Amino acid sequence: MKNMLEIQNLSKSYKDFNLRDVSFTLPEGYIMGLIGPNGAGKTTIIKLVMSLLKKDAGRISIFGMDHRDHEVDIKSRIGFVYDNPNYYDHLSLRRIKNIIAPFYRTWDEGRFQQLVKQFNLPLNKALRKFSRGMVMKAAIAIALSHHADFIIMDEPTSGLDPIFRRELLDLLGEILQNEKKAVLFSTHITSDLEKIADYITLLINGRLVFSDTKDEVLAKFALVKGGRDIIGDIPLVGFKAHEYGFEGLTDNIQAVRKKYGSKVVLEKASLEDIMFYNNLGNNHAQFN
Amino acid sequence: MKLFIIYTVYTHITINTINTIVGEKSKPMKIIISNASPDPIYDQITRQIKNHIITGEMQEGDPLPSIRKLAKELQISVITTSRAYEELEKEGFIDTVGGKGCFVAMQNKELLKEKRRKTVEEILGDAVAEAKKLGIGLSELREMLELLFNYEDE
Amino acid sequence: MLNLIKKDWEIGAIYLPVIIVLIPFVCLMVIWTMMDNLGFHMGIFIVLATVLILVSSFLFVGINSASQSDALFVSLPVPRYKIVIARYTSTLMLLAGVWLLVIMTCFAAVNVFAKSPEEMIFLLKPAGLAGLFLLPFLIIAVILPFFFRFDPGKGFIAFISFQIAFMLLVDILRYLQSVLKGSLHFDLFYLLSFIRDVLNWVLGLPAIIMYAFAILVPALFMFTSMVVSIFLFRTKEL
Repeated sequence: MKNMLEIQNLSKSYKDFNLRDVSFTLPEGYIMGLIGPNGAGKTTIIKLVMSLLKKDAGRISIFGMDHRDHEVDIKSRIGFVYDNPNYYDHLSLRRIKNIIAPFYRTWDEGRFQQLVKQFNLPLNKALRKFSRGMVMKAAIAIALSHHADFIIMDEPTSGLDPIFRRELLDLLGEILQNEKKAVLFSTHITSDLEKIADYITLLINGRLVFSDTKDEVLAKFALVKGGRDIIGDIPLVGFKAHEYGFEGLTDNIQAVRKKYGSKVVLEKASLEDIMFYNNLGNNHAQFN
Repeated sequence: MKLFIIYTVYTHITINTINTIVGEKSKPMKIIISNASPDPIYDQITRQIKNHIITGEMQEGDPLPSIRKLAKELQISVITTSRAYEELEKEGFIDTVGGKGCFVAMQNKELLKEKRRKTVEEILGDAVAEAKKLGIGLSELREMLELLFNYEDE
Repeated sequence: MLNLIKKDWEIGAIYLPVIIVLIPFVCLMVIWTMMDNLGFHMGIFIVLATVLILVSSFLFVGINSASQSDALFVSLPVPRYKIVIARYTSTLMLLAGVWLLVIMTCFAAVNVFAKSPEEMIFLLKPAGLAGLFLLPFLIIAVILPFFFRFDPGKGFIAFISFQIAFMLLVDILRYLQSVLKGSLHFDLFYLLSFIRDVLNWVLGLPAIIMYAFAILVPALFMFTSMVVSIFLFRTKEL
């Protein structure tokens, strides 16, 4: 199994933010969700991968090639959707398409027309009259129209209604029928997009918390609820105490069950829970 | 030799055609995923396909949808689906034929029955344990069972 | 590359008619006021014409900066240096077009009015033509690298501060000159007279060589500017 994306010890420093030593890989044929709260470094990573930013240290390879040495080759096989697609907003979608299409040798006009129709996008209306969701849809239509092998999407769900998000799931599922393709997307709100994610990478404060298959992540963590008296002993990643007890996240289900089996309630944790309590734990660690 | 090759190719094509026709005609298997269930998704898939095989809804040699197709249809991850198929293969319910996909494996009918018996035993075991906790005796339990059994018959 | 140049014309298309109408109009006004010796009005229209020519030659750079489209094009399969070269090319094409428009207007005016003010006769000579072209050319050559390095807002601020610093430098030199005049036997006017000599020498050359100069010097400027821009844009974070 070849790797679509390999990131090793990636670092990038800003005045007020550091991305520190991030490493993860995404194999061909799978979808990875890059999750984390705002300002965790998701967009920075995507911009580094797309070489919009210059990395301070580390290695990024896409399709097994260094991302800078083979920049043009790599980019011709990538479909990208940015959080803020900076199209010329006085132009219509048709014009934008006419500008972008010639850059891709594999541009498929039929596919584009079909997607535009499916997404209900007007071709002749100026983009400045588009809603945020429509601009996002336009970006997605453009990204999916040149048979890219690797789809990179930064916050693609922002501004999209649940109905279209489901449609997007179908589209991505269709792409993934080909096991030589892969998808990387970032999001700060856990949404239905994670349903189809194979891998989950959690970033908090510029630091990688974990990068693993979603099944493994969901099996590893559990919500724990119990009385306040045991907060100190119980192995928790992060917790929130209230007057009558606490709710927290553990990454050691076995130990908790063994030691506190009857004293606590163990529940399946959602990705949102996992993100929330990891972030909380990180903040606690910073204060202490 | 030439004849042999032609023959092989011919049979191959025929079998494939039959497979597609049969595959299209046969009812798609039913799988329902519950996000509220405490069981992991792969387990839900495994259990439901197993059930289909045990009840005879899926017959020996029936093709299963490809991992990626199933993942797309159920809108779940590919890894989850392949894990489910792996479990099924490990337990001998399905065979993977390289390049062609997965098929329901040859089943030992007795073994299947035995497996199903085991499930019943397991569930009863749980019931017994719960009863013991509450101090329900064997006779009382037997009465309950009889009641339930007869009720189900009606 | 061609795609990138074509794209600039496509995004600027809606502004081109405005340029095509406004520039001849303003030029005609300049000529008309010139002929009637309406000094004050002439000044206004000359300033207007200069601003218009400058603004229109900044059209492509301006739109691209304003819409922050660099991130989009850098993400497409095209190397960064081509983005820079393409933008220089399309800007120069536009500048050449504007220049042609101005000259055509002037020639038309001379023929129609059958009377030409002295200034215009100079403008239509090789030196005048070169001069007309030189100013926006040099301004573009200086400004563009700032736009390739900074955001549009910052680019403009950087350019203005550069200008102020340059002006201050001239003032400082003048001040130094006035202070040192007595003690040091160095006169900056030597420099100025040297420049004047060079200019006179150039103007005295045959027309063909002067054309060559008029093309070569700005071309060299532009090329240097482009190399600087490519270098700056190569590491720009988007």
